[in-house]
Amino acid sequence: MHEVVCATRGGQGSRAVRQLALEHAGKTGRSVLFFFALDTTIVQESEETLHVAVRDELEWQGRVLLEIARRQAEEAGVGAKIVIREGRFRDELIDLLKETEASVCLLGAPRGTTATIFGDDAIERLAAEVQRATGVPVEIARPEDLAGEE
Amino acid sequence: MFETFARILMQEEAEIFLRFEIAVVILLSIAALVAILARRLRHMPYTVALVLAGLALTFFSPDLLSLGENTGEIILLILVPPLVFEATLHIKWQALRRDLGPILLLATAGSLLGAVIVAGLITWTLGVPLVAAFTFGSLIAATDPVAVISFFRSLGVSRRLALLVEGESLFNDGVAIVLFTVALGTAEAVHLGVADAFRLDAAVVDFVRVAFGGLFVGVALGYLVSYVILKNVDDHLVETGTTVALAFGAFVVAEQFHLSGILAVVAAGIFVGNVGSQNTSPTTKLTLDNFWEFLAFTANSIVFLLIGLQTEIDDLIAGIDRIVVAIAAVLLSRAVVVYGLTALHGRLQPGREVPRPFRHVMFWGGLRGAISLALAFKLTEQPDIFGPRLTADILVLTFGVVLFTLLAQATTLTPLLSRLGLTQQPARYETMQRQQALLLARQAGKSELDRLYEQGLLADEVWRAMSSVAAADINDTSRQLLHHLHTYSELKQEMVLEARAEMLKAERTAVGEAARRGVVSDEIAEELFREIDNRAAALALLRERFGGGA
Repeated sequence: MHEVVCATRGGQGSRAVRQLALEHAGKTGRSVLFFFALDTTIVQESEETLHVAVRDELEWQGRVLLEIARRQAEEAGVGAKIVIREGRFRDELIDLLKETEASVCLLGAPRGTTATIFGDDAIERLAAEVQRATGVPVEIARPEDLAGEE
Repeated sequence: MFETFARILMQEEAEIFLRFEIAVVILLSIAALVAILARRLRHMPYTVALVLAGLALTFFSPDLLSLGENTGEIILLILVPPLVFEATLHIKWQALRRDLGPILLLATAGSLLGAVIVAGLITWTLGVPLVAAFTFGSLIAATDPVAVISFFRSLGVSRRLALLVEGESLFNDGVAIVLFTVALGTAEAVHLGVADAFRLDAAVVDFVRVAFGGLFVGVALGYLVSYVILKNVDDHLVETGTTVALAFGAFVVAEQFHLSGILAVVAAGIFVGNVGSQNTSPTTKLTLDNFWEFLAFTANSIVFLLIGLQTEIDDLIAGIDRIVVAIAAVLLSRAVVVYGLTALHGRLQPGREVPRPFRHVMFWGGLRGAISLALAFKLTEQPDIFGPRLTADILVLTFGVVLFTLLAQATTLTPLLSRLGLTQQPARYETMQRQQALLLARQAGKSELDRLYEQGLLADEVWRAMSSVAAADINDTSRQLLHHLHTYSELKQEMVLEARAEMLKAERTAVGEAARRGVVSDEIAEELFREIDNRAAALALLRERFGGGA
């Protein structure tokens, strides 16, 4: 079954992207694969003595955030799996999309420009790049699109 | 005859002590009143309010606390060591090490460069002799973070920015004192007609000896207290008392060997805060925190009230034109130092650049305080070196600059931080905190209600009704919190990070308890402590990356 791949990192766009993923899955009857990248660039930028600790803490955080997403899917009656990959966000996402034969990939955009991985139009450029590399359509979910958001 | 003379002397001493005691009691009472008022004035730092109170008091009681020519010594020997020690106790080595580059660059090269620029400008514009101008430049190079840091804490400003400001200030206090001593020594040599004896290379060697010697004394004594006393003695009162002895002892021992007392206190404080306090029980840690918080509050209160009380308004008015020039020189030198050296550091350590908004805050937040005034007062103890008039001039300029930084810069820092977007606690974050607190409060109220009922103090009917209403309130608050978290999904991430930090603290305490009970060996406990500390440091890094509170 083709899956809906939903990349999340718990930031401002996370609720929007999770909701969009659940809507997609609900309409198509597909399951959702929630994806968290354990971004090694953050690890590399930290001082050497902290590499292991930063990696472990990132993984811990990823597990918690994906568990939140998985439970949300469960409550919505949607099948969901979680995956944590270690490496550069872009590279790992492309590899995952190729491996899973995903039908669609969803990315969450931050509300402002405060995000550290994405910023300004970086999310659009990333989406285009991933789509080009994998052939999988990439959609962007924005927090502003949700009811109740500012 | 001798006995009578001795009795008179003792009576005089007793009177001096009594007067001193009364003055301290009055000062602390005023400080308490000012603290209460300052809480109501959100944009007024407590320290600035103290200065204003001190200034106001000079109109009513000019001799309230006349310390005469000992003012400089009292500030430096009695008030500064506990202030510096308390500030360093909370500095985490892991975080400090990450930003040690810009901090040391600003504290060393920055202080020297700042002193040279101020000296040049003062000489050029006011015609002050170069050595005297450099002495002024040195004493005014010491920044004082107290007023700024209290703001940072309340506004939730980035911990990195707070560390940069506080770290620079702690180290540059020591550096400024060393520069001041060298400048004064040179001035004395000029005054005695032996200026030829001054050699720049010898001065540099002396500077390094005094600075590193002070740091060494602090580390050695910090090591002694951390590993001999704090690790082996299990008595929170004795342990706390030892840290007091360490704070003052490090200063005195270093000064005895003509080394930097301030840097000794900085090193001792950092050592105890990072190593010593880890060897103590949670009770001792709590006692240490509370005690040092109180001592710093007391010392701060007295220092800033003193600044106000010692100000001679008439002299300031008379020298206003010269003060304006001095303020301009100090601001200009600060701009060159902060913007120039942080840019240089950015080139030397790419990836760890000081962000541009931080630089603006470091420039405008470079306040001057106790150290500058203490050093200026020290000049008045030796008026012959520059002559009474020039000495008085330097004192007036110092007061002028200190007051400007406190009254103009400190009070405008909050708008600057907001404008730069550095107050990282947006409304949605505060709403979350308010709802969390409300939920905790309502749950506590409900528990108390149940306890009263279980003890038979409430009628069944009353309890049922109250319990039902209380439960509805709790559900309501809980629903609001969930809705808020649902709306702002990033708050969940912040919640995860906060809860994780609390978990790590609990893990550390548990390991410490296990070690104290002998369940695990000291070596294993040390290993686990290191691991947990690294994870806490990693978490702090992630919070910084993902924006604590945002």
